[in-house]
Amino acid sequence: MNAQPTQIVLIEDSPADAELTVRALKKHRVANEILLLKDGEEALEYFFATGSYAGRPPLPLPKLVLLDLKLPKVDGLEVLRRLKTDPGTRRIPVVILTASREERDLAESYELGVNSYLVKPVNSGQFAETARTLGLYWLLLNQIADKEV
Amino acid sequence: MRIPHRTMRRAILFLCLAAMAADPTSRGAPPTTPPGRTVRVGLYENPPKIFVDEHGDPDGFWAVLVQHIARQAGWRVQWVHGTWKQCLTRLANKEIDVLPDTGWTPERARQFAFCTETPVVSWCRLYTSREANVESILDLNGKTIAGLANSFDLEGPQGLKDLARSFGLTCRFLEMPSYDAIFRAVRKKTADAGLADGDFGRLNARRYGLKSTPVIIQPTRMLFAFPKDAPMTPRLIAEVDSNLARLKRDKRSIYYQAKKTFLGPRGISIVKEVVPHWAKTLLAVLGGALFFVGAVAFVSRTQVRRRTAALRLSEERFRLAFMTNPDAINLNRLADGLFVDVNDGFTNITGYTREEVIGKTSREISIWANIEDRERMMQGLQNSGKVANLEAPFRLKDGRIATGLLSASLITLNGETHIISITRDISELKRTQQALRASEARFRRLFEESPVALWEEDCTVLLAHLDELYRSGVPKTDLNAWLEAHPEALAACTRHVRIVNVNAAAVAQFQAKNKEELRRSWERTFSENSFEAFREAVVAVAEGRTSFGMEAEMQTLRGRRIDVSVHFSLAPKRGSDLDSTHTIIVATVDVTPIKRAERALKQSLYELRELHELSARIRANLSPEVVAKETIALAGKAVGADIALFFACRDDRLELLASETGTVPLGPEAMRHREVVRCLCGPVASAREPVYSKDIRTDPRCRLDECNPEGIRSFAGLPLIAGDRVLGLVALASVAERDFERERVFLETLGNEVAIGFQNAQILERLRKHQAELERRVRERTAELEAVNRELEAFSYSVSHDLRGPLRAIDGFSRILAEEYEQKLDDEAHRLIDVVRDNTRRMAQLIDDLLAFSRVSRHPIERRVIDMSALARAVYAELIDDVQRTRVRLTVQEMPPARADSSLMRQVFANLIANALKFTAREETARIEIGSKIENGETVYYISDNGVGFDMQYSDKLFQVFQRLHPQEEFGGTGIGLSIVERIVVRHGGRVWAESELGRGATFYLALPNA
Repeated sequence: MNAQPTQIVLIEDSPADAELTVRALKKHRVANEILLLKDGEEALEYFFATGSYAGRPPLPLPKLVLLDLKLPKVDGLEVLRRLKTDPGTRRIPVVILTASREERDLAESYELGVNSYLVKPVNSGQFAETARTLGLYWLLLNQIADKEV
Repeated sequence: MRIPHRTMRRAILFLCLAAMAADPTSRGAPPTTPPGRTVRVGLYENPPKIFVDEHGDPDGFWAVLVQHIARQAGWRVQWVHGTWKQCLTRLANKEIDVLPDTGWTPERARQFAFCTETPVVSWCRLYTSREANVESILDLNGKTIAGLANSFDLEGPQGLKDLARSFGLTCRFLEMPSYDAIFRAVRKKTADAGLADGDFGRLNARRYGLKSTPVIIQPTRMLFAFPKDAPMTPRLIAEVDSNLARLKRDKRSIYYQAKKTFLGPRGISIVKEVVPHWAKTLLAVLGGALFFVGAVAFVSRTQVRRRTAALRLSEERFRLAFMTNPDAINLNRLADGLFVDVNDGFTNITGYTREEVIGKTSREISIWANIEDRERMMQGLQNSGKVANLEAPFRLKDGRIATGLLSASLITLNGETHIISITRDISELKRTQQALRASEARFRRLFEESPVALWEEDCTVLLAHLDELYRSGVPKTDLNAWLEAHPEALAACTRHVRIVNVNAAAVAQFQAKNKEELRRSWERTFSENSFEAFREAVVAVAEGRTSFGMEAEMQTLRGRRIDVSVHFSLAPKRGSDLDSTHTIIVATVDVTPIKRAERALKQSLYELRELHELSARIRANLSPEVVAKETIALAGKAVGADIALFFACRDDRLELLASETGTVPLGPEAMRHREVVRCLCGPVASAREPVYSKDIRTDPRCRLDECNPEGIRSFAGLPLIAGDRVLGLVALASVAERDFERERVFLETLGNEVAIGFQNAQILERLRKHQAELERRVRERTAELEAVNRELEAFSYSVSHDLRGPLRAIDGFSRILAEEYEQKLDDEAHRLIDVVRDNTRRMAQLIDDLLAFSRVSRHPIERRVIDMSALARAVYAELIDDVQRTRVRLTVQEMPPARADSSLMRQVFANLIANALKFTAREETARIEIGSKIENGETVYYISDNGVGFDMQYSDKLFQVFQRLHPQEEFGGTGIGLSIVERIVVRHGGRVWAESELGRGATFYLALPNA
């Protein structure tokens, strides 16, 4: 944790995936301030200042949340639902990271208000490129929105 | 006493006419008349006598006369036209000087002057239809006569009304406006006779189909009339008379010519026309009185004439009675017995003509068959002057004997005593009476000896009694209902029927000792069931029906019930109205055997129907319990058992499946009855034979100690045997002593039928249990499969997530290794890292394909009509890139649409087209053809290419999952694409196959069920 405001929150339980994602984002200089949360429960505690994050000082909202669907304890869909129903977090762009195109998950994610999704390809080069484009896009969009507000 | 009736009548007529037609004077030469005098002559329309012709000139008989006289006498004729009435008025007012064709009457004679010479005589005559027969005015009695309204003919003195009155005739008169109308009325038969002017009639009668009668009235001289007291009149009369006289003397004169021209060829010759030639000869024979009558009739108007007419009428009437009487009337002189006169009745009956008997004695013609009868008559006449109703046989001319009923009396005629006798022929009556007597005797014999039981009943009193009931307010139309509601009144009716007679057959039928016993005790032939039929009979009699029949139950005097067919026949009334009797002949036929047979037949039919119904129901998939219930319900009802039980045999035990206790109240008592029944059931089951017992109290087979003496009497037990197995038994019992064995055919048929049905039901029940078990197992297995399916889905889901994670890590970190340690690793290390990454990718592809394959299996099929050609083109367009496009020649034929799931079908085309592209990759020009053909009624789509093809010996492996026929290095892929194609086509109910030859391309076919 550093003093710089967190720009991207990555919620991912697989350390390998997390490292690959963070590397890809950093390598392409999408963002340096990436907060990694290990499961759905921790993510909820972080966003709503409960549990181990109870009493944390108010933070500026992150520019993007990258959310894996398959998470221990509280799954990604539940996290998404909470984020998109709370007025304080509703406006944070959330991009789903998923291992497959299982229609069930995707349909549900869109109903809950997800902004985009990203199938994690096995080919890491492909993944890094997609992540970079996506991240830039959303960060840029949010900056414009911030200026306007 | 004989009056020549017809002759006299005609003579009167003759006299009248002759007297009137007599030419009274024939004066000397006429006085000369100064010429040039204007003479006004009345002119009116009375063709053909006088009229104005079509040129407006006067014409007709009278006009010719006038013109002739005018020429002779030097008149300047001035015609004054008008109606007849106007003419008469003008004449009276002296406005005209002469009026032709004026009938002379005493009244007119006082008013006008007339010429003396008679130009013509006119009269009225009666006309009738051709078939009518009017000979004299007397024949008009009771007739309808048409006449000219207000005419002299009808109303005037000596007119027809006047005449009818004086002759005492009753006639009806129709008053018509013209002679034409009169003739039409007669033709139409509205009138029996019509009165018309003689000239009119002569000219027109034939045209109307009428004929003239001898009845002529009011003969009138038709003369020239002149104004009375006019200065010119005497001269004119003299001129007319002298000219007429001269004309009439010369047969060739204009007078006769005019007559012929205008009044017809026959002219009006009075004597010739009216009087028959024989009248002249008869005239001499007629007595003075008759002449007198005739003369008076002519003179008329006097009292004498009237009285004479009355006398004549009285004679006429007597004469008429004498002549027209159908009985034989004869007049014999007492002194010598000679026949003086006989009537038509006499000649008709005896066959003699008048000439043959008149002047002879009865002895001479032997008319008395027994001469003693004549003596008896003479004796009676001597004693009292008359004989009444003497019945005697008479001999007719042809020798036949007729029976006559004779009355005679003595009368004096011309001072001589005559016997007048009137005899009625009663032969027919006698014969009828005899026939009646014979008929009555025959009837009696028939009645007595008839093999059918016959009753002669007098229901006069009954009818009177019914009338009384009606008077007391019993509704006539509702007698039946009323009697039904009042049985005592119906019973009373039996007392009002008197049995007049019964025949021997009836005595025998009702087992009576003799007729007397049956007559006296007939009410005892009624059973309680007879009254309904009796009521019907009473109602039928009351309604006056003459013949009706019914069936009734009756009983003999010895108490035996018999079924009788009863037929009633109401005889016509006998005796006079005051003393009438209403007799009914009743026939009773014993139909007991027929009825018995009928009942048996009915019962059989009933049983048959019930059996049929039962077997039909039993076949209808019933359970053993229902079969048992149906069986005992039917069997109990059909044979009238009080208790019906159904036992099933289970392991040598009897188990009660169903019971019906019918009319027996169910209670402890009934339960004991069942026990009682059960004791006999053992033998039924063990002996496998039906058991019948009329009275189980005395039956040694009944071994149950507590058999209730007040309970069950009769018993029937039927074993239900199928093959060699006793399935159960049916037990029937009655508290009455019944012989169930009489129903054995029905019961045993029922038993056989039920046994089969029961067996079927048992088998069916087992089958049902089996089926239920099977269904349960299927349900369980299905649930298991569904669970497995769910697991499989979960598995493939987790595969997609969990297997890919490590692969991603391997690939990602190999890449990082290759990129970040590029300088530190040698070429071999880089190659090895590439191998790792390549395999990782293939592994990921396998997983993706596997998931796709699994998705295809789970994807629900939504069929819709798909344009296959369009789909193929669209898929191709998605798959092809610009580089490949230059190399590939694609042909897509127009194909019939398919009914399939569009997304799955898209997948099929995608896989097959991708396949074709892949395996033609090495061809310089790839040819891909997509099309269809119809084979054996199904549409077969195909995709053919000119690629490397495959060896047909491996064609069975083509569609298997992960099967590849080419090395990975040559053509990539996981070998799942064709498996997906096959899975989709099979799920659509179709087939897929491929044909190929190595190096010569391949063709993939898919047959889909028709859209």
